[in-house]
Amino acid sequence: MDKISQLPDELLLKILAMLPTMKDVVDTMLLSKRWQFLWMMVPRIKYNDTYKNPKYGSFSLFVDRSFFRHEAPVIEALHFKVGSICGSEDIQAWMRCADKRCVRDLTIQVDTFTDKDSVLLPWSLYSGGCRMLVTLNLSNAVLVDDFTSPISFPSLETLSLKSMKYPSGEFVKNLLSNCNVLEDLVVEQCQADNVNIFTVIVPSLKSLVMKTLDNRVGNDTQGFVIDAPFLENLDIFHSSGFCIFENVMTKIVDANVDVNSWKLWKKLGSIASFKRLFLCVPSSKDVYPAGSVFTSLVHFKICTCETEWVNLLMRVLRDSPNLRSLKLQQSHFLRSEKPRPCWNPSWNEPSSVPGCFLSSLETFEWVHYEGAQEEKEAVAFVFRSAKCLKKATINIYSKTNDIDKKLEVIKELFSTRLSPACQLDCLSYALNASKLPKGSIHNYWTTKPKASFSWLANKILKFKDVVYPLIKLRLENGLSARFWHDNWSPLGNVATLLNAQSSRLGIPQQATVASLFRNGSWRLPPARSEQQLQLQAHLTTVNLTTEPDYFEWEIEGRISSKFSTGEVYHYLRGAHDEVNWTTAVWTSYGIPRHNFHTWLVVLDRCPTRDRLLRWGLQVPPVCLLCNSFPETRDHLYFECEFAYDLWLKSSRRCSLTPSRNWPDALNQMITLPTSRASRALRLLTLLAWQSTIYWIWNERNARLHSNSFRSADRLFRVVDLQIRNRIQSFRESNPRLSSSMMQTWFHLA
Amino acid sequence: MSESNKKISLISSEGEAFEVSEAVAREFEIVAHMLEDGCSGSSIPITTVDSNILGKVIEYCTKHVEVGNVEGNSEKAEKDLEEFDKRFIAVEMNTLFSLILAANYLNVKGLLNIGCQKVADTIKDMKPEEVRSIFNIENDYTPAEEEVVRKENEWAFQP
Repeated sequence: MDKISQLPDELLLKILAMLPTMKDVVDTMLLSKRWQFLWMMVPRIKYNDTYKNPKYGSFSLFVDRSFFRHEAPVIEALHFKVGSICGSEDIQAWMRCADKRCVRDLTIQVDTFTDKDSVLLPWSLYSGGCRMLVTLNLSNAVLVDDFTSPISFPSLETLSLKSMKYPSGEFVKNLLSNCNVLEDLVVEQCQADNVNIFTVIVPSLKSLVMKTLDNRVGNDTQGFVIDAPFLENLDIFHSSGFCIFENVMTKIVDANVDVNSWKLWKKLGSIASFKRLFLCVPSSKDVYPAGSVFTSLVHFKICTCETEWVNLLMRVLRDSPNLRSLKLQQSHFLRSEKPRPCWNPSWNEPSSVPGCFLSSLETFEWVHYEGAQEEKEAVAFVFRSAKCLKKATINIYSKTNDIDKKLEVIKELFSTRLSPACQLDCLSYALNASKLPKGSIHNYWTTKPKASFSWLANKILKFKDVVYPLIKLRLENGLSARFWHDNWSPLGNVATLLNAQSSRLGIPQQATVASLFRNGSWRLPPARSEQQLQLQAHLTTVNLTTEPDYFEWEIEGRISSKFSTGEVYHYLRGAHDEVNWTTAVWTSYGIPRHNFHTWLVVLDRCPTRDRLLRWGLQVPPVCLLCNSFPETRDHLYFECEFAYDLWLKSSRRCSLTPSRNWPDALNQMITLPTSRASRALRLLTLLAWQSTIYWIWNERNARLHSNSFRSADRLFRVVDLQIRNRIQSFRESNPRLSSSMMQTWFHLA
Repeated sequence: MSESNKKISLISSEGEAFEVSEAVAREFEIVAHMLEDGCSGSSIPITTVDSNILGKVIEYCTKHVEVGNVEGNSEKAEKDLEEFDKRFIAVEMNTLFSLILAANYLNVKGLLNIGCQKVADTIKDMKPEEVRSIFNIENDYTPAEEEVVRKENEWAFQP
């Protein structure tokens, strides 16, 4: 049996559960009997009413039937992605069916791209099966309170409510207070969700993400109240309103705080527990009480979009004695046009260097560095005072694609004093991408591949040794030609010739050829080796002109000012002798698919069974056409009884005595008379030969893969028809050849 | 950390011994359980897995242990690991199924998952005939039987 069907049920079900939708799972029942009932036990069910664009009736019938026939006692996961063709009624009916099935992970995701009515989810839907529910994800639907007694979720650990609408704020408060073991909560509040104050009172909560979507316009009466004393991860993305913490949270390790206003923001908790912190807040003053210290803070990230960011940065740095990594990133558009604060010169005093700079800070990263005044000062400050810095990464951004300006920024960065132990990476993707195509090719020879370059750029750089001899620089004024690296001399690369690794003879790396020619003579040190002598001898023959230097391609002595892909390809591939069977395989007026296939057969590259066996595959060796001899190329063409029968039929029409032996048959084709008079016959014979080869292979595959069998007679009708069609097809362009071939073909019919 | 420097030999079905650190061996849950149950011998025979496949499974576990030990820069490391998994699992079908069976037997969860995922990714979007020919599944329905299955489940095969 095949390998996949031998896997135990448990593994096959695992594989089925990973298919994207229930439709894919159900389809497997057709594979073989082994698979007929397997799909009914799949533990995860996913329905998507946009997948493969079903029609309304067929999709809801599909869900009804497949859900009805599904037999697994426990459904680990049930996902509905609906909205484009299914609505409230369908989903409510299916949810009622799911009630008794012990679903552990339920997701209802409503697609809102269509203008259909919103999908209502009455609260009572959760009354039956929710005792086992561990994960619940709802998005874009409307929860409706139908005044049943409050429903409790005794096992619910993960809850995500995205863009949901609720009956009221009170409802949300009740809902959450009935989740006694909830650890993970994600809330994305949208416009008009009927909740002014979102109350989260969940003592068991460990991770909380509160996000208000940008389209929600808030005011001071809106906000959220959080009481979760054991919270460890807190993410707040909040553009308006207030946030209140009822209790001090002492366990927070990871905090991302991105808020627009800082009103009523109290009790951020004991900040001493924070390990990772991201801040994007407007003011440095009331973020946390004066005198607090981030004793555990290791990773700090700050957004540079706010006007006051420098002040906040300096404050946090001074209060974080154990900081190891610092990251600056502009994650938003600049919040306002207000002037940004300048660097306070008093910060440059040695006394104001934060403690972590002297003892712990090891990595520094800046994403979106533009080189503004306060940015420069901040970088200089870090480079100057961080004594343990091991790695600094600056990702340069510039609005214009001006390379010179970027280079300027990079130069400035490198000129800043940096402790020698630190490695500085400057990344600027825009710069790297445009450097090779647009920049000077002279740099190409000396640039080395680097991990920070794009893949393509590195690929191009790796090819430079191959390309070097092909691109010649013709000297005119010598102003652009680099003495050491450009391919200007007939002696090749001067750096290699004179072994520049050991001595540069006092000529700088970037020196141009023109710079060595002063006052009518070549300024070169006296020659001390054979090679130097050769070069100097060549230079005496060079006369610099006033025209600019230019490039030429020189491929095996052929010179061209244009690049030709074909020539370079032939150069790289190398020339091979023509094989004697070229004319038999690559015919004019042939069928390209047959030409290609014949080529494979001549090279014996088709996966015939003898080859499969040699590769170690477990296949029976016998020929599929005659069932009596091992299948090899030579057997198929045409020792096999069936194949020979077909070849006999087609060769007879070309007045050819067929050969059963492959080398002989091939030789027959190679040696067909090539005279003008016999051209039609020759082309016809080749056409017939190739068609026969192709259709024999086709029949062999049909028998193997789809169990369909054709007789030699029927196959010949296919060959016959195809040959006639092919001949007809060039009747317009070559009527004489067409009719001559057609006549020959019919002559012996 | 001295414990994790201990070496353990895993012996394949052909009797070839692979020496790995204990941390790597513990990635095989079956081995981890044996160690916890006090099987203190330094060589463990794994009789159902041949050398070729065992070598691959060890390569997978070694990589994952290495990456797991490095702290910080987790985003990049995760991406690299994903890339590694992708290349690792791009093998021909027979090897893939041997890997899945071995991962199932040795209880290496991560490898089992990527293996099954690879098979699922191959099956999805394919017609049954195509799936059959890729996995060499022999269609043991007679045409008449297949017709009956299709007929009975007409709801499933409507466009």
